[in-house]
Amino acid sequence: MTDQHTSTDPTGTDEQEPLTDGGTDGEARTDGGPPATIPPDDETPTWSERKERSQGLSRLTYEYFERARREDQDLRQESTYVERDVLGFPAWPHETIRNLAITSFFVGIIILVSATIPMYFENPANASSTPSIILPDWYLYWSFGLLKLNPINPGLAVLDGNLVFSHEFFGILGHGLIIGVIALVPFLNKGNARRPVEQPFWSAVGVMGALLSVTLAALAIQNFFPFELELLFTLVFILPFLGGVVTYAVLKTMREGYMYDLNKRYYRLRPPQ
Amino acid sequence: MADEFIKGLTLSMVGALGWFIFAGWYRTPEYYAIEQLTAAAIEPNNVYQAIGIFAGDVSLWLMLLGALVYWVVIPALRETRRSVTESPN
Repeated sequence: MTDQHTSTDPTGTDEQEPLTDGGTDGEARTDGGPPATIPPDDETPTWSERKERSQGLSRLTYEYFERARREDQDLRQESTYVERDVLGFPAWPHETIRNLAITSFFVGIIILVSATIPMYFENPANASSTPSIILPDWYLYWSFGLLKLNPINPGLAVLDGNLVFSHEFFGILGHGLIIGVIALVPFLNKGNARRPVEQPFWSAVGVMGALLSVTLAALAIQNFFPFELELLFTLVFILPFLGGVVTYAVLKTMREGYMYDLNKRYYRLRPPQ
Repeated sequence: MADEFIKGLTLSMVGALGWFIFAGWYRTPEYYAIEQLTAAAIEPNNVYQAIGIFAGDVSLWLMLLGALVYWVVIPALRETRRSVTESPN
């Protein structure tokens, strides 16, 4: 252990000689070493900072990180590597204990919920009878909702009011429209914004799309809603538009507000487009 | 700020877990119906069921009010007090 505290004294004096003020030690240490003289720099804590971490959680946190730093320093000095590239906490025990705590928490929640409200199974599905309501899996509800656009399927006077497209083909065209718009977006916006506040318009477009997928899903399960279909159909297209307008207004306001102050340095480096 | 956030989140999550369990016991007629956790509570047959129904209501309001108090009410009060003290017109 003595080699940990050797000084690189160029004068070649005794290695165990305690360093005093003005001593020349090449390896500056903060803690645990012999009394080394370290001139105060920007990282030296002030007395108020020392007092702040002298009690409670701040003291515990400080001691934890100081201990971890010291262990890391000792490991480095005992190690045969010249220098490690990656600075960090060791996987054992630091990361492992934290991960065990998180894992135990979620396993406990699973056991608690499954023990308190156990799910039971009803009768198995009857393969010979078709259920009255047929629905795809929930993540395809938006697509199923697009197939129920028949109230806005246009009829033309020149065709004596007959439909231009059948209801089924109209639903397929709806899919084509949605997928076409999604495919077009990368060509209209390169996506170099790092946060929504930088490009309020495109954020609004994104919110509109997300809301439209939700409202179209609601259209797919329209018989679950306790009001008439006409109102639901109106909401399907009005709500995404309203959400987009609100998003645009909020982000425009935030850009002038605290978010702008917060990111002023960032904006100065790279102005918003 | 971060302390207020985690306090509100903790109260909200504890309340949500309690509401989920008690409402799963007393306010869920069956798992294959649309209305679960929010149906009318069963008529309590003994004092334990009455306590459970009451605890479910308490948990529901803890979930809602815990987040509301720590995320909205306390910051709003703090902002109000700060604006009052900082602008002595």
